[in-house]
Amino acid sequence: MTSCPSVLCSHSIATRLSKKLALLTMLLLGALSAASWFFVGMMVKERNRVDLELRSELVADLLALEARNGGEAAVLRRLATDAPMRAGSCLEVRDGAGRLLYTDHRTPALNTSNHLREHDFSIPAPGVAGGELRARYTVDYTADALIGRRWAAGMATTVLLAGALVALITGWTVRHALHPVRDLAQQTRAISPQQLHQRLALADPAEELLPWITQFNALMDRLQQAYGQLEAFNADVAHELRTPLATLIGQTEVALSRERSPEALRETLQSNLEEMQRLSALVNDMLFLSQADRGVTARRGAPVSLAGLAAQVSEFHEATLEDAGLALRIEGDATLPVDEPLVKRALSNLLGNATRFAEPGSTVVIGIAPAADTQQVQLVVENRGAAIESEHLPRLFDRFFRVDEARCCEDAQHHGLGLAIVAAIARMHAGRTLAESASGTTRVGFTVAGA
Amino acid sequence: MRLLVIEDEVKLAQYLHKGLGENGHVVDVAHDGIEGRRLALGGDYDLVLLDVMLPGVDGFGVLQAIRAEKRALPVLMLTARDRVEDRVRGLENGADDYLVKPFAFSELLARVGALLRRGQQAPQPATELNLADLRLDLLSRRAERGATRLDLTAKEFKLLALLLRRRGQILSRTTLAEQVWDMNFDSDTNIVEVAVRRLRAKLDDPFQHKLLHTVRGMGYVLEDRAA
Repeated sequence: MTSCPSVLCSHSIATRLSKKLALLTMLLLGALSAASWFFVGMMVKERNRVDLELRSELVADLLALEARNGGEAAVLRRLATDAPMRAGSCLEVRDGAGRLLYTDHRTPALNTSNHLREHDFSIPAPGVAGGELRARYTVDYTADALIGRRWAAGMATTVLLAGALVALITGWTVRHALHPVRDLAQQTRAISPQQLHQRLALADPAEELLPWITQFNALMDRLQQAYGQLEAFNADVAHELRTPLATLIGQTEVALSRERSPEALRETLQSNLEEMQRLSALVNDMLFLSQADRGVTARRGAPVSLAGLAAQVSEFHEATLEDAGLALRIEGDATLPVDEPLVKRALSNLLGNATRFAEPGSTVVIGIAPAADTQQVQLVVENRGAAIESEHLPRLFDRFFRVDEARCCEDAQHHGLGLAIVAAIARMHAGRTLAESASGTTRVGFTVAGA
Repeated sequence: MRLLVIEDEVKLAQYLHKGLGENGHVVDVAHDGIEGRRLALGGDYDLVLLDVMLPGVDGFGVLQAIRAEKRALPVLMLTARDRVEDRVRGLENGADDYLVKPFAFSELLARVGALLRRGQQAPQPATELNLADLRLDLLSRRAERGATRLDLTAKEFKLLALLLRRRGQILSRTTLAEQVWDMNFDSDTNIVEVAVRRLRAKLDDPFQHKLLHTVRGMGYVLEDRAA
């Protein structure tokens, strides 16, 4: 491959096709013409041979008759009389001993011609020396050859003309057939971030273009959705940042508006610090998500027991679980190379969620099992509690998505990125997320690929 | 201890100068790589705080120069880039530790303390830790306040031991999650809060004299404030 920019390397389909088709036409027609020229040539040669033999037979019959009736003199007389009838040819007659009796006048054309045919034959002639006449009949078939050559030239011209014609017609047809592609390019050019809803459409779409149009439109659907999510995310981020920032600014302004005791100032600074740390945590989480979006993958270590990781995470949550009056059970195990801190983080987020929404006194279960349909392992946290409505399930892992605005916000620490981070960690392990909620049991989890 | 801060962000350098100074260190500041390298090689410092992105010579360049001449000088690298490659590159080039911006000051202080202690003779590993009437026997894993035995879980014991070992130092929730539970991520800080609250219920609530204190917005500290 050369390293030229693709625009310069591009080629025209019409030009390529017309060149190829023209060449093909000329090759085929040329081969056909050559073959017919060859066969016609053979036929003409055969005809000439037969013609010469017939003429020779005629001469032989005549001369045999003359020889029988009048001997050598009669033969010579007949030869001389008939000479004008043999224009363009030359007859040589010798007696049985090889002595030249007669020859036609050889014209210069005959001497220089490349298309002579000779036929030797003998004629029984009792009155002549040696008892026979030996004749050589030489005929010039230049005229036939000339016709052949003209015919060949005509053929060649036809082949060239046909090629040119095919090239022209193909070029025009292809350009015409590709008109919808130009149309599509025009439509594509019109799509902009402000007009993401536009889709490609053709009044009379060609079958060959349909998959392309369908795929492009599907891509646009995905892009529009992602763009919409991004816009919503930006709006959410701005909103999430604005509230604590407003609090910070307000608190600081109030604190500075008059003389304060060191205790009061310390109180303000401490409160500000808490607020800023929440902001910092939010920004860190968003950075983590953007890294995952950029396609950063998990740094897998040596294979570890996932149940072991789950046990570590559940120790971390021991106090909160006990506070909420919950028991915890870990079921199943699998040993996989994973990014340990990431998997622990995902499990911790899931467990935190389950703790918040579980019915007091129930048991939270961390289940580790092979995923049903793939070569992956799924880690699912299951809790008893109010079911999540099925229409919310697909959006559970969206950024800043909250099933119930009122339920979650009693505690400002949960800014709604926890499950989005779980989804990102799943993606970084080539896995996916899963969520189901039925008859009082909610199961939320993710899968990780083997390696 | 004499510290050198090589950092081009003026505000950050200022607050490091102030914060470290107030914690008993003598701090010099360089705002670019060339000045930083000159001071690091010429001065007598116990530790260098080194930013990666610097004008003049970048942090890796300064680190290389330091390692060429002063093998034992501890270097703590700081960077805004949270890229793992930078971390790996820094540590491979001989940095002693690494801190990603933005960091909590308490975290920085803890790392600086750890690096400075490393240079000194390791103290005899204690088998018993004491503070006021609190006594922790690390071998038998017993915790007592006065004559009362505290009934702690394994993690609560570990948490208390860490706080006791680093008494007087403010430990952030992130540090606690890392050191006690091995959770190396920005976890839900609420979880550490609950764990500390439960520890406090056993450690302090039954007693008049409180040892475990919350520093709002920063973390927790174990100290005998009556003394």
